[in-house]
Amino acid sequence: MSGNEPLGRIMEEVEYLLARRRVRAQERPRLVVVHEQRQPSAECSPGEIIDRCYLQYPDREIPIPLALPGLMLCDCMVRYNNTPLSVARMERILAHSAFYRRLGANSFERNERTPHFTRVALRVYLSRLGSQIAKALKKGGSALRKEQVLISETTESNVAVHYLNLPVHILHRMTRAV
Amino acid sequence: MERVLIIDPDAMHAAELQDGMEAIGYDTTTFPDMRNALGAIKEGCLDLIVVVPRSSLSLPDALTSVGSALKDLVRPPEILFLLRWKPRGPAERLLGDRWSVQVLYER
Repeated sequence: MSGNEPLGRIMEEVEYLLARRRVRAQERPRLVVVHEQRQPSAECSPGEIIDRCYLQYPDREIPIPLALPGLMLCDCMVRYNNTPLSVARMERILAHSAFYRRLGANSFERNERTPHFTRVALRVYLSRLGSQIAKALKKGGSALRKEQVLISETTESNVAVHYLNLPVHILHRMTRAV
Repeated sequence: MERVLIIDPDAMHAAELQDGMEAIGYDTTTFPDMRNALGAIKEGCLDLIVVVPRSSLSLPDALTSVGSALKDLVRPPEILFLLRWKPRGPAERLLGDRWSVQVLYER
């Protein structure tokens, strides 16, 4: 290397790359759920469609591939983000909330039949949701692990509760994107 | 402390880079080639890999081997390709973009 100028430029670049890496490590991925067929006056009202969900990190959209039951579970956990939910409570919400009972009613398209959830099935969907989020985190280059994002804890009465430890957002669209 | 790995076939040049990095406070290791560096890369706790290819002809191969060494890492390190020849058009930087690595000309 002749003189200090090239070395100085290289060090600047190295410092920049490492600083960018530190900043990215502090950024947290955001879980986004997209609702379609929104009515003009209301958001998250019965009749909407849960179209998809994805991780936004750092500025990329990383899809989380889920079938309808997984999407419904993910949506439920996003909507109740500040509340740790037991499987029994998730089952009650998914079976009785008007949003899930009338899912897709605003659409003229033929809708999938709303699935019936049992607690056993919900535990399986919960585990699959965790795996899919883990894959998306890995794809996005995040250092977060599944256990840091989908938290399962036991209450003092020995009931397992689950919650998402991520910033979440529900995005609404009036009509389904083609 | 951030960990930097330098892959450089020129031992003198590698030592200069290492001194520069250590002066800033990075924990730096050097290897003369990719084959010897693979073990350290696969351990997965590196923050930056600086690759100094031998010549412009070896650049595509170097990019391919770095890319395949990193593909299973959960959090791959940043990559900087340091080219010791003068730029001859945008092709090499475009190649770097394709592999998501930074390309910097020393001269």
